[in-house]
Amino acid sequence: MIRDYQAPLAAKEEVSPGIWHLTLECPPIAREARPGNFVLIKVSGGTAPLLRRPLGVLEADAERGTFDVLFRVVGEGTELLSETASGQTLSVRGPVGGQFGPFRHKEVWAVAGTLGVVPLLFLRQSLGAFGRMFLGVGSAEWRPFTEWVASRAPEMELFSDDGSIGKKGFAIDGLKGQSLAEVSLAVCGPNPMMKALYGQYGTLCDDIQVSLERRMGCGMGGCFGCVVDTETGRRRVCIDGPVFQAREVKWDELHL
Amino acid sequence: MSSISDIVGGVDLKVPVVIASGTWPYEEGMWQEDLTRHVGAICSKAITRRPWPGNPGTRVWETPSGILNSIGLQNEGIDHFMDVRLDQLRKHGLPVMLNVSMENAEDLDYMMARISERAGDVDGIELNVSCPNTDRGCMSWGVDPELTAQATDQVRRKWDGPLWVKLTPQAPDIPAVARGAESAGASAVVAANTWLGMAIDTKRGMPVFSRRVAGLSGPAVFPLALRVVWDVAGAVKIPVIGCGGVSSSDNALAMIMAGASAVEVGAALFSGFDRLEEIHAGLEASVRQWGVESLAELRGRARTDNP
Repeated sequence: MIRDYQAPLAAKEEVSPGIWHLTLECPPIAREARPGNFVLIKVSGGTAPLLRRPLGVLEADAERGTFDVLFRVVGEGTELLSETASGQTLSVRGPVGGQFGPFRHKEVWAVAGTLGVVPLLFLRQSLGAFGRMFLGVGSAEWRPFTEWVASRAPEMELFSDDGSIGKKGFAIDGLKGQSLAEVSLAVCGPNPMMKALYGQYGTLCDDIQVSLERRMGCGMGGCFGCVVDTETGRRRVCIDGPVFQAREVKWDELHL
Repeated sequence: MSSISDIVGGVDLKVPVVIASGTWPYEEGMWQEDLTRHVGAICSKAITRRPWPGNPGTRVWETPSGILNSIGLQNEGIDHFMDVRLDQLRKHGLPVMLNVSMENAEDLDYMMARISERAGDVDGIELNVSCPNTDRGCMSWGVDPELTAQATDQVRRKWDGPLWVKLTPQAPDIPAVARGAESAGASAVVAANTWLGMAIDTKRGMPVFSRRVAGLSGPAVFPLALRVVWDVAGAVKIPVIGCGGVSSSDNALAMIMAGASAVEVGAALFSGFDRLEEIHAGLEASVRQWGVESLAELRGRARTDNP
């Protein structure tokens, strides 16, 4: 059930310049969170910024009563969040949204664009490992981040836009020439990446589960600020998603 | 009766705090007692004659201490609401205000006919003549006193229960619109809906919203809303429900001291559900601190025009 919880920051680590890994103490979310779920964190005590920042859950440990998030500093809100000191308490709303799975096939592959890897790593915990896993980043500047991912998912195959690290190309290039008939895909990354993936592989793979991203207001299903066009109408990314079957999404309508 | 409970515009509010339309989901988990014990009523999302998809493109945009929205009344329509949602929401035991929005008089007639079929199960109507996010209807009624009176009258002919009329701050003469609603039989007015604003995405060099304009709410608009409450409370005898940027018990008390009988909260809940408990507890505390019997005694306390 979605509620706001006061969660002490148990640990923080900058895994790569501007990319932070936080561990928060929050037994209810640690217990309830499932791969694909996210939380919304209030980044300041006052009214500015007013809105919470949605972040995918990286992992949850019901026994320790903690869960983890990973985020990149991209603006004022995430900047403030990165300045939170260990021991400080954050207001966390969650867990929100549906989850990845069930999958049609036993073989599950992951396709991630940069920070989109977060919910996929959580999913990986419950699967043991992915059959294949493709991660795309911009360039070698992302090296510490990619090493951090590799330490958690040794099967990860790396691509970079400029070829300065891993293979040159995009994460979805990992699917080129592969037989996908008996494979389920779990995908999370920028919306244009997911749109391109569906455009190229939508007819070759019958189970493509994508986690979408939208600007959000309430993060609890109330405001309908985060809807996407789907085959069954405009649906909320926050609680009807964020994971959708790629074929349900009207990609041409998706505001990228 | 507690020190803060009151009957406002015909609706029995155990707490004079109402969740504003368009901000709360119908999902069961959000209607549990741990949250709802701090509110007196919940307004439905805007309901229209037919299912409505709302606006395409970006719908929300954060501003300093505020939020612009251009949702555009996405909803399942009156038939689905009356056939499915009403019973689902009623069972939680909290008054539900049906926020009704129309393009034209025919729409309103149809919706009132549907509502009248189950008049005994409807706690109240919040007539929405104020949403700024549609191309037709809605706010075009609420900017005009005559049209607002006409719409209010049209509802009144079919409905003798609680009828709140939600005003728009875009009206050139808001007190006149409030008087129009009052003269046609409104039980209360809600002051007010969102303020028209806009945003430009400078990275793309174009307006953020497909309709260009959007409605601003959140703490940023509180002083604007307070002034509207003051003006409206001085213009009508029916209760005024203050709405706009209320995010603390101090805000709520200021609205009451300006002449409001209750407040609505919306965007503040995006920020934190704890706002509900703080406002509830803070209003009870203010009754004690002022040494009065009830919150009603503090209503209009700040008015210089008070006898």
